[in-house]
Amino acid sequence: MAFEALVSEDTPGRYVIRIDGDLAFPDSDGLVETVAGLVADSGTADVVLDLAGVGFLDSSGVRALLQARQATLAKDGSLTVTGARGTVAEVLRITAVDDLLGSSG
Amino acid sequence: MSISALDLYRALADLLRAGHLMRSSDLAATVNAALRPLNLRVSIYLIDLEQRALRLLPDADDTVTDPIPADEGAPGEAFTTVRIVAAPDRSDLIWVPIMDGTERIGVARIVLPGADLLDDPEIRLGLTSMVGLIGHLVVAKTVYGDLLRRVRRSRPMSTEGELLWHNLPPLTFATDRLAISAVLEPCYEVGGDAFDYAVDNDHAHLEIFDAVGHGLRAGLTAVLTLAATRAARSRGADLDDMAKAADAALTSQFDDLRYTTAVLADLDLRTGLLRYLNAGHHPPVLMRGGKAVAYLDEEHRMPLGLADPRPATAQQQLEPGDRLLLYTDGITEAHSPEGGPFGLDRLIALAEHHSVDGLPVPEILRRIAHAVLDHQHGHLDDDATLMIVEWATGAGPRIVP
Repeated sequence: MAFEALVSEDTPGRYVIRIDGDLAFPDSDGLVETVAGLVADSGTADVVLDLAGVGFLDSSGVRALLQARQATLAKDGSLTVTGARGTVAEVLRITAVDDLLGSSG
Repeated sequence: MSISALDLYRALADLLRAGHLMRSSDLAATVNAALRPLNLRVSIYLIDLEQRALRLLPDADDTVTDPIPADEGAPGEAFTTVRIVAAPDRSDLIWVPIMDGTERIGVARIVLPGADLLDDPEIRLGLTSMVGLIGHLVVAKTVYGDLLRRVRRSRPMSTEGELLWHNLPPLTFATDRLAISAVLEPCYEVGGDAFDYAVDNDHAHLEIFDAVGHGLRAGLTAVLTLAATRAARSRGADLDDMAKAADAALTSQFDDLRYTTAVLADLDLRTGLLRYLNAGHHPPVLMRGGKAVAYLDEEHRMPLGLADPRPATAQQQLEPGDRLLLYTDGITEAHSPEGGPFGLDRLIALAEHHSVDGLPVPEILRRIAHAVLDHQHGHLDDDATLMIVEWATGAGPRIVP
């Protein structure tokens, strides 16, 4: 995997996942599996994805973020993205998913 | 020895008549049979898909030769500048660009029965008409066999490439006040990028697409998006409804958030008013006087396939002579092994540089595409598409012979 995901549980049902590396084809599906696993284990999960350690995000990576969000919504949870910077923030802005992922500003 | 205008007319008529019952594999021989009474000999060279080399369409009398580099010597000059070029060493040999409309198909090597025959305007007109007919026949006959496609391929086509190329319009179209031209790389493996256009009456519709992911799945996504927007457009839908049609098609076929970023645009050819919808795509660049003056990023919605209720249509007034650059991130993010992306600045600088050279738009695109490929040492990790649209009086006439 071209990125590492460090999961920590803040409070019960609330997780922070810190991603380090490139969130891109063909590895980005791994993120969806990680989040789907959390949801399967804990039911409702509120997930904060910290992208501060991500240097490259492509369209497959964006799709993985949206799929991870969908997995949390299916169990009445939520997913927000934080820490995006540089080209990663730019990709979220250009694809106009920043509002949906709560990462604008 | 000379040739008469009447003989040329008869040869044209013979070729047209023979064309009805012709296989693609008969084309070269049929052309030469029609021209034999004039003592003219034509060899047809077709440009390959990557626009690197001119490849002989053989007939029985030809010995197959090595491909000719598309930018070298007299044949290369004829191809790149879209002009008739005389061989430097023989006064009876000329190279004539083969076109279908404004699409560059290749070059014809013509051996004349005497020197300086082209000085006669009647003969010149007759010969360019003959080569014009050859261009139309190449395109018309391509779909009935595999041979013409094979001649134009330097290596086998992938499944996703086959799927995509059959759905794309020709790379270049132009009228007296508009030129549209596009390139797609890597030619034989391309799948996830696409472009489309339609010019009717006073409107030019323009679309560029980049489907998420790579390979055949991305190809299916891109082609589905293209088909949905084209179907909506051809029944008169506006840009928002074209986007909604693509949303509906994609969500009906894929339940895994598969999406396509796109720019859909509608240019009024009388007034220069451009209406555009940006669905999660890199903003097109507006170039004026050879400089990038604006990015079309007024409004944007999420990519097609992710239904987004926000109204996303914006507009931009063009001035005569303006050019639009529409591109996918495979162009700007092409990485060289030494590091560093190709980048938007380099793309704009190249477009500007070649415009100053006065090159035809399709030739500017060919050179930029090769610069992107060379930047990545010939291997692209992602599909790369670039489309240039010029709104200018005389835009079209500059790219025909």
